Amino acid sequence: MKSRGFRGGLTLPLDESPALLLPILDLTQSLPPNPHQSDRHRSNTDAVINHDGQHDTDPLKSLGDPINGTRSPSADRAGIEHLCGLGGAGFSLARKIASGQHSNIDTLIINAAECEPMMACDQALIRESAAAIVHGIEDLLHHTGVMRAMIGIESHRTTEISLLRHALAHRRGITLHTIEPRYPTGSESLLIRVLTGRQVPVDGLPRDCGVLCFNIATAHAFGVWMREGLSQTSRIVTVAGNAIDTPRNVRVAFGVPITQVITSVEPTIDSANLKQYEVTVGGPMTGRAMHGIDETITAKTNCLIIDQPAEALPARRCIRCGQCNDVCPVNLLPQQLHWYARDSQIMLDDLQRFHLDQCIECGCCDVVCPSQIPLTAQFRVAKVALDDSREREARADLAAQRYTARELRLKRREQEKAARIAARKTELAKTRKPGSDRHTAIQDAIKRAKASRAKGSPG
Amino acid sequence: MIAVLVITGLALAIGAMLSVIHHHTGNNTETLSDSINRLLPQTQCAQCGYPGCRPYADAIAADEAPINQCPPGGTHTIEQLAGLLGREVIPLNSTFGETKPDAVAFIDEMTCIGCTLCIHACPVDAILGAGKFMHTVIASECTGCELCLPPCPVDCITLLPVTRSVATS
Repeated sequence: MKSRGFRGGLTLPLDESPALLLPILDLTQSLPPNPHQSDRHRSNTDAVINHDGQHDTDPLKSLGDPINGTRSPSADRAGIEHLCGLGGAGFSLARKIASGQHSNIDTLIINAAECEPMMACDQALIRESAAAIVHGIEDLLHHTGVMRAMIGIESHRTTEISLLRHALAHRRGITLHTIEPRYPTGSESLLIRVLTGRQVPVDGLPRDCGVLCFNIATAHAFGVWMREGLSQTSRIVTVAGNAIDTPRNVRVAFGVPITQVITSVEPTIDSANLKQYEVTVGGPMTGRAMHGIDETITAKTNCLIIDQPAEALPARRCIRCGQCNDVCPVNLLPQQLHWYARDSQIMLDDLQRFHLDQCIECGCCDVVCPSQIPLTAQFRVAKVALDDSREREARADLAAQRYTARELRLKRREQEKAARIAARKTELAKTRKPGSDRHTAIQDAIKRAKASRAKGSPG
Repeated sequence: MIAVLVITGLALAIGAMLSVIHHHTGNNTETLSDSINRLLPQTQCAQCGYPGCRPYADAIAADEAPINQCPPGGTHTIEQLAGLLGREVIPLNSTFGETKPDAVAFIDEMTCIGCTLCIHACPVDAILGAGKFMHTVIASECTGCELCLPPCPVDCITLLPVTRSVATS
């Protein structure tokens, strides 16, 4: 397959996440199987893109121009289908909007608080394009038909706050709120609680309490699509860590290999010595190790941390000091969960009882633990086990149900057959001559046969 | 005399209330056999010597069978049963089989002759097909019980391991 694509062109529709859009000219070549793909942590399906270095700045002409109003509503919708949340979870924007359509949404929350310490990609975006962000929020309000939007930002980001204030002047319906800069208030449910005082229900979504939450970069991308017709093909990534001399934010096209980003930011690192460093994809708290050298930037990649390898202290026993209980932002009891999630024996019932599935994996308990127990990692494994056992239970229920249904069917057939035989018997009994019975008839026939044989062969 | 009357009256009233509550809640209708059945893996493989999980549960409830005859459930099920019944945990009786990893049946459609024998053997109706038409396994409903293997005249059914993704990072 060899076809020439254009910037913003559609490449591959994926079932879960929005389609990947071409960041640059010319899609070619094959789709290698993705070794990192699993049901739970799906990474992007890779296409190999060869580019000739020319950025085609004339996107999606065929869909019409939004500026002079020649673009059709269906084209607008098609573009939204391909937008994807830039907050870190990569949730489809179109799905999020659609999910709120039948609930009473009265507020949009725009998350301008950085997800984690060290991260500064949202900060960079505000400095770069505060006005475009506000346009994006207005477009989101218009599109969803909601009257009110609240922007949440940490109180110490004074430059960004004044930039947003300036951009927001004389606009109605959008308010700016400062929040205490304390990790993890950038987390969706906590931000909603701080700003609106509402609690996202357990096993619920923000829409269940009348709120839709968007990252500030998502709002920006939405506005850029609606106003300029440019699709989302790049994002701002923070590159930091103690191996980086000058940490910075870079705008990177989706699909660029992570190694390339790192080597271009830090000249002392090249592809040969990169292996000596620890590369974390995501923030310092919730990030994970890089899957492999061929991993690429996706809409979810908000931060890269490159560290000198540090010697990890061995985990010791839990001393039940209770510090993790104090720091847990969602009021769980990590030391109790730790006890039930020990490697040797995961106690699923108890984990469920202590609401393991409400853990947001923020990593706070890891930081305060004086015994260096890798609690979050343990909880991740236990969560998988919990999911697994629930799935197993559901399968067993289904099997039991189908087994009983089959048994009932077989029994019914048996009864029907017996009834059929009985009916036929009574029918036959009716047609038989009165007085004759089978046994004597047979005996008679045998006698007749014997008699005729005796007559036919004398001697 | 009054005291006796009051106490009797109270006893009758509380008794009546309790019986009404008992009648209305009605969630304690689960028999021992039901509880046992819920702990069994519902593979319906009949390896225990009974034609399915429910009959085995009935037998355990009637104290006719020991709790260590379920190979798919393995140690985990034995532990849970022991907990429920207040018995001691005993090792799996290996004459009934060994615990194997989860699997689903897969029909090689090139070899299948459409004889329907496996359809009749499947305890959970997880095989789809008709006489002289190709059969296929509904993977989400297959329990991996292996009961379809012996009747197949052309050996076109294999058991494939179920891969569950466990993310560890």
